[in-house]
Amino acid sequence: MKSKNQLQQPRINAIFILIALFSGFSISAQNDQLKFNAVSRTFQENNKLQEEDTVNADRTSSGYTLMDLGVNINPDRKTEIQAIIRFKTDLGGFFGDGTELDLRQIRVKGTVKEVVNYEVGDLYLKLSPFTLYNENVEGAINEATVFSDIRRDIANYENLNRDNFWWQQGAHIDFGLEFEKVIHQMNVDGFFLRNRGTDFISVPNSFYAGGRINIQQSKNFGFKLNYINLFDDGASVNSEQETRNPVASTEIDYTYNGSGFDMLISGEAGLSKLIFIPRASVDSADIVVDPDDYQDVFFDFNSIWKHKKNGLQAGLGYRYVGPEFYSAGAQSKRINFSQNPTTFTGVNNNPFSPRGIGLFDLTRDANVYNPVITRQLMAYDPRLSNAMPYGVATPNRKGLNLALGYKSKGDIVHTSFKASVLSDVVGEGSPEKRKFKVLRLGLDLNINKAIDWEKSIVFKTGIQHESTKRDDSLGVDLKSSLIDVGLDIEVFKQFDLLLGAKRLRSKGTEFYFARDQFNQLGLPAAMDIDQSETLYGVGLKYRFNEKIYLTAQNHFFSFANKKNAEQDYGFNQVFILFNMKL
Amino acid sequence: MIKDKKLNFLYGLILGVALFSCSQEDMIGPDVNELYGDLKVTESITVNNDTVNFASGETVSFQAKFEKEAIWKLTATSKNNGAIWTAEGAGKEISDANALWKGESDDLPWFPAGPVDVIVTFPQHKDTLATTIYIEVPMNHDKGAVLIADFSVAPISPVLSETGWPSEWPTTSIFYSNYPQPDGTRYLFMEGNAWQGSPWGPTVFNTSPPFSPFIDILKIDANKMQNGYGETLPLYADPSRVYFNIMVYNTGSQYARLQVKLYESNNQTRTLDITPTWTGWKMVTVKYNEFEGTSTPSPSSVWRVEFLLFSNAPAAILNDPSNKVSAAFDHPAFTFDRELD
Repeated sequence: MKSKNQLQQPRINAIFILIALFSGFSISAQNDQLKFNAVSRTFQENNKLQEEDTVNADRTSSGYTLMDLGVNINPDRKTEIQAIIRFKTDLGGFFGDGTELDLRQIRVKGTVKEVVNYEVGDLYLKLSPFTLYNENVEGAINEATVFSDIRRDIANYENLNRDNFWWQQGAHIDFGLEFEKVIHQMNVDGFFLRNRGTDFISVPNSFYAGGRINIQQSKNFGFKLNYINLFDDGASVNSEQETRNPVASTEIDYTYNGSGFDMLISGEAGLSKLIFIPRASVDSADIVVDPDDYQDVFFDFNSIWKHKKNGLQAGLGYRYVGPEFYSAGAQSKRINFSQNPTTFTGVNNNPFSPRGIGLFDLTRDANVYNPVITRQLMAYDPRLSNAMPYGVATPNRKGLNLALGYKSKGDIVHTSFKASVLSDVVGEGSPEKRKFKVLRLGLDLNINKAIDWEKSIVFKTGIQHESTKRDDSLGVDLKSSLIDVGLDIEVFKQFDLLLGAKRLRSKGTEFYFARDQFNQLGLPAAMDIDQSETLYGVGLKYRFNEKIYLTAQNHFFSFANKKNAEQDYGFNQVFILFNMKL
Repeated sequence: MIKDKKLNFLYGLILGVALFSCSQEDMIGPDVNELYGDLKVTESITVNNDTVNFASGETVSFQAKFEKEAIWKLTATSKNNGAIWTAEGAGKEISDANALWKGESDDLPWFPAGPVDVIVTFPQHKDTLATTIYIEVPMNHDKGAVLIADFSVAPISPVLSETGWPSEWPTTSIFYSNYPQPDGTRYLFMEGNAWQGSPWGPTVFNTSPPFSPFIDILKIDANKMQNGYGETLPLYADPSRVYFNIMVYNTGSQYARLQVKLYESNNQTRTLDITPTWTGWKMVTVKYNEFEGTSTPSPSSVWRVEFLLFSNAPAAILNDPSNKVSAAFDHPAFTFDRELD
């Protein structure tokens, strides 16, 4: 278990003291007992549709200034209280119109008898990719800084997404033991979370409980036992049924130190259940669910070979995830594709059919990001990821994975290549199984190091190609390619020119199955698409220091549907962003 | 060759697990070949009742059979007012189990008496099936409801009149038929300028705002309602069980605000403001205790319902004669423990 420590270095700023005063805080103990930190952002955007729209707005504009004030209080050396308070005001708001003051996060942590660590409140938790894991967002392969800055500092930050951790609320404890024989070290983690509150009508309280035992047998060999269970408290409302989703897994890691190379073998295997229990107090005649139908297994083994000197590494793995493997904490998506995009929701003179989520929205729209663990497999976009829409925990997949990596001396070139050859475990909507191929290439080129120039010039690119194929009477044949390109040039000291482009091209046929309330495949929708999306970004960025920057950018987005040109649209967004993390 | 027993054991374990990984059933989910392959209709659409009296509880069931599973959509459309009822499903047949019509509509307008076209379409196929039926008597939507008025009659009187339904401007509160009729009969239409605050009308001092945003009013007492109730409406005493329903049309008036005002005993009032933002007709339903008021809600003491039209225009253009504000509404009614549908 990893729990992300969000504490930052103690820093007291006169502005924040004033704010603390007005917020009612006592600052009489401005010493080790009271510390402040803050994130601040000012954002102003102006958007313009390319084609005149007589129904929807052609130009939109919005902006805000916010500050998240972090307050750390240490009543004693073993206890710490952390709170983040948000001050936000809309630019153009009049006398407080649009002003917010919210408690964004609060956490208490400490140590009992210097043995057991505990934390209560807002937590960041992660187990393994099959149990509790916030999978990376699709639509980005080593993307340009002009896009990754805004994704990191707005979309992910606003949704409390940090790396692959899930933000949750509850309690977490951990402690470690050391042994002299057989086992070197053992760490134990446990947590109890409130996943969802009741609506007092039909949605019951829901909780998440689990933990990990991490045993390090020796320097080279260790294994972990993971368990997690999402469960309802059906008695909290008059609900028809309760849901349970327990997942258990074992992980192993073994490192072999050879002459000139290291060999790492890692793997995880486990099983899940998805159980629906009709409640006796409710007429459950309509609920016909056999819990035995919804259990399945997975395993994922990888072997990585690392050369000790020349920076080369290679990996080979095999993964099997059963068709009815369900793990809410690992399969919940970071993007909610059922949500409407915020910028120009309606286009093409159509106020009723919102446009779909595109590359533009994926880079910045905090509203389409999903901060919660859901109990149903969420909708996905087959154009962006059809082979692994739920990450490595995607159910009904098996196959081989290959990885290659290279990092040159002096860090001039850093490249990675991944390939997956997968198939359905069982056919979806057909006895024939689909075959998937996924290729991913990432390349970082530090040009300045190659030409020995003191300022930074970095070229980045990423390519993803996916194909899905099934040979039967109706057939499936879907291909999509995503290309990311970026160039960062430090024109003057700490002053960067940022360029970037993204392009998604997808063409072919596929059947998309929505999931029902029991996570089973519902009616399929036939897709026959020939679409492309392009996003260009150009900007200037001044870095005051590593934590503060000011940037002005212009982004151009276009969508083209060759099957129906009336759906084509495009717009651009000019924005100014000041971002500070102290 | 790596000579490490643990490593070789792990490789052997992985290989063994991979080779003996589970084999399961052949297929999961609905068969796409059944749903999207060629369609053959073995029995075309038929109905059990082609002349129906929905008010008496009769229903219409549809039957059709296909050789393979198909996604289908059945749409019944009134030839008189365009009312629509749909049923959707997937399978090898349409039957009363998945397509039984009791006379309701998907949305407004409701079905009136008259002919109805029925068509079955298949999203994945070009085939269509069609038939017609005739509604002899439409569904009685008001069963168990307390209807205020369906506005098929028009006893509008001057505002100080003690008979009929007093209105401030009887000539602007009229029974109208230009829009689709949501309940199958006419509806009420109000229109005017927000100038009534000036005692001299719009031609005098019309450059001296502020004027009142009030435009028009219609008063209907319980004992003068269409169904002739007593001194008070026969509503439940529990406000959480009483729903107020009204069909409202968005006439396109940017600043229209329709207000419903309920008079309880001791002249306590409760109000509901409706600002149309939708397209066409919409059934607006609110619980009684969601009306705004300062007293304890008392549905069983309601003796009068008023409908008022206001303009939400800014003061600077409130008096602009070219800025007429209008509202159309119909079939206000109370229901118990359910919405009117």
